[in-house]
Amino acid sequence: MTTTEHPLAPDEIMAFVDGELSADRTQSVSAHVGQCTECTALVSELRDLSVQMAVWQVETVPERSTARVVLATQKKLTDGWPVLGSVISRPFTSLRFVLGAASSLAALVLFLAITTPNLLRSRMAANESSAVGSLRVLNTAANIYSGVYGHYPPSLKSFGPPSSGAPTENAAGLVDPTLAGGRKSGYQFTYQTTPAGGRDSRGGYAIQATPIEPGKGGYRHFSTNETGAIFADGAELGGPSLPDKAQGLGHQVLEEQEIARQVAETSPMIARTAELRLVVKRLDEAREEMDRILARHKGFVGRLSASAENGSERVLIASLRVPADQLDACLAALKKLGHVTHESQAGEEVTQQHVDLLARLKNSRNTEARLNDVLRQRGGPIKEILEVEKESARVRGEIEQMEAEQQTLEHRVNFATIDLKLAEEYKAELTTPAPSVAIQLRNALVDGFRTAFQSLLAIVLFFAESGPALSLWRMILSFPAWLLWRRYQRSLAMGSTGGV
Amino acid sequence: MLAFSQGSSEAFTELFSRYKQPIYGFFRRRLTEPTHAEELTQETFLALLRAATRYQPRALFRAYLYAIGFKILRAYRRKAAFRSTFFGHRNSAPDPSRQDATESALWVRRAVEKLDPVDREVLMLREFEQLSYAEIADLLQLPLNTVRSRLFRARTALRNLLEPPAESRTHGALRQITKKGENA
Repeated sequence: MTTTEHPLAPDEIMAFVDGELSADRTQSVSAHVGQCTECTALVSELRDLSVQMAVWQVETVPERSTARVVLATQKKLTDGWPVLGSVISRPFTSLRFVLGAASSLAALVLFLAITTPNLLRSRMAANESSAVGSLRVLNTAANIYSGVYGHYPPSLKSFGPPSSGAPTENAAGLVDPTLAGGRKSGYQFTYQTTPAGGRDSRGGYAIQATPIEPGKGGYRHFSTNETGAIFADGAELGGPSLPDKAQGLGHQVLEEQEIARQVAETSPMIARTAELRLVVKRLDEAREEMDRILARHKGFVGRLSASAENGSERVLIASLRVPADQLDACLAALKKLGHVTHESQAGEEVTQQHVDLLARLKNSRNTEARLNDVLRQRGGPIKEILEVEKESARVRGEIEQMEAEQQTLEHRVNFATIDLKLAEEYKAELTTPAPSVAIQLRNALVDGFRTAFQSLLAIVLFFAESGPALSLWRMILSFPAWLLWRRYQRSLAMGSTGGV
Repeated sequence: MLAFSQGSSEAFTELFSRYKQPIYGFFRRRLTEPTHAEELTQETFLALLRAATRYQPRALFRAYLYAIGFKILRAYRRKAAFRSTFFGHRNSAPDPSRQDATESALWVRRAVEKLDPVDREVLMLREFEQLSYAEIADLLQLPLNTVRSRLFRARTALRNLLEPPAESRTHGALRQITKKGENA
């Protein structure tokens, strides 16, 4: 049968049986079906099929299941929606929600799993580096302390700064208070001294640096002693090797003993500095008072600058020099100028530096004296005499340079430095000209573009850094995810045929 | 429905008594467990209660009610598939003893079970729920012509499944015309 013989498509005949055709089309199809035996048979079969399917009847709905609906209806009509809502609503049961939440959680866990170890490793490396640096600082401080007081510090607190006043034997002010407290950057520092005896009359010491949280704050244990060597888990870290140190140890000890002897003969030389920040009510009056204080304590202004910009407070920054013995009194007077916002003091031990300078100066003067003797005798050829004069001039230059250094050093010790910052209380002025709207818009746009670029750059950097790891995880997880998805689809297909 | 949305409990009682059996039949033919069919029937009417204030008579109420039922059925299937996939809960097999079906009804059920899922849904909505082609298309989000062709395909396949081999030699106009239609 061709299309010409059979102008109607079978599904159109089916639509005719189902009453889904328009009135005109129904009429023409009806006319065709009346003449075509095959189409008549088709109509008959379709109707038979419906009859066959109609035998599939279901049981009557049980009466018990209507009770809940009736109850909910009554509640709805009497109490309103909240009661009904509590019966009906099932939050968070959507599969999409569950899958989304699970994916987000998995991504978060993955991200943390990748980044947390790196962060921990970075932090531990930083802590270990800080612990080694702290041990070096303590070694240096212990040597300075022993040079000044003739023995090593009795405790870790002896390294720290004094609560007030000048450094003492119990608080030498050689390290910061955090380190002197025994805890810094995830490490606990313990200090022990050993009694004096044998060649070294100063005794010895041992410092241990132990991670407070092993595995989190740091892995390795560090230690050091009076030799200056630093050990990590028993093995010496970089620096002079043990044989080298053993060779140089005798000479070093002799030098240190000589220095200690010289230092013991002189009083410790401490270059003291202080920093003070104040907020004052009137800057002009505070400055006049500052000058009076300086005059009273025989000090002077080393450097001074003042600034007063629109939209901010007036500020005066000065570097004051006062006699070292007047420092505390001068600071006390300066504090009365206004409200103290910051104060700090420090003392730099320069005794050893001064002794070294004196020794070098003495040697140079001896050299100069010998050269002058040679010149006085004039026993050689003229060329040699000229060379001796040239050498004598060079040594003279060195001596003058060292004398200047000595004066500067002594000046630093004799005169303490106070870095003073005076800020006037800020009073906003109504007349302050605000930037124009165009400028503000331009600045906002520039900031916006910069922020956008930085965000984009951060994203690119993130993918550059974490992309390979994420790709690897995706490769690893994609197969089980695909298997689960396929299983889910199969279950869905099985569920759709569950009742038929 | 409009009367109910304005607060008439009698209107809802009338709706419930009129449609509870068709809705129960809708679920019962698609689910294994009669208790699940009961529960989803209740859920459908409770959802209808909840949505009563938002109801707008844009289509026949019957199609509106089946749309609610169909969404609830789809959600139930998703949850069942999820439980089956991730927690290993199996969909229980149909228990013939709990289905008051005759031999011929069982035969029809088995034949319908073998149809393509979408074709089966189209056929069942047409034959049992008596929805029009347009209503089925709206419910399943399919084009109208697709519904018509799928319905015809489902009926053809079901006819072949139900027809005994000997009988198909003497009858089978549906098959012959289908083949001719395909050739044409």
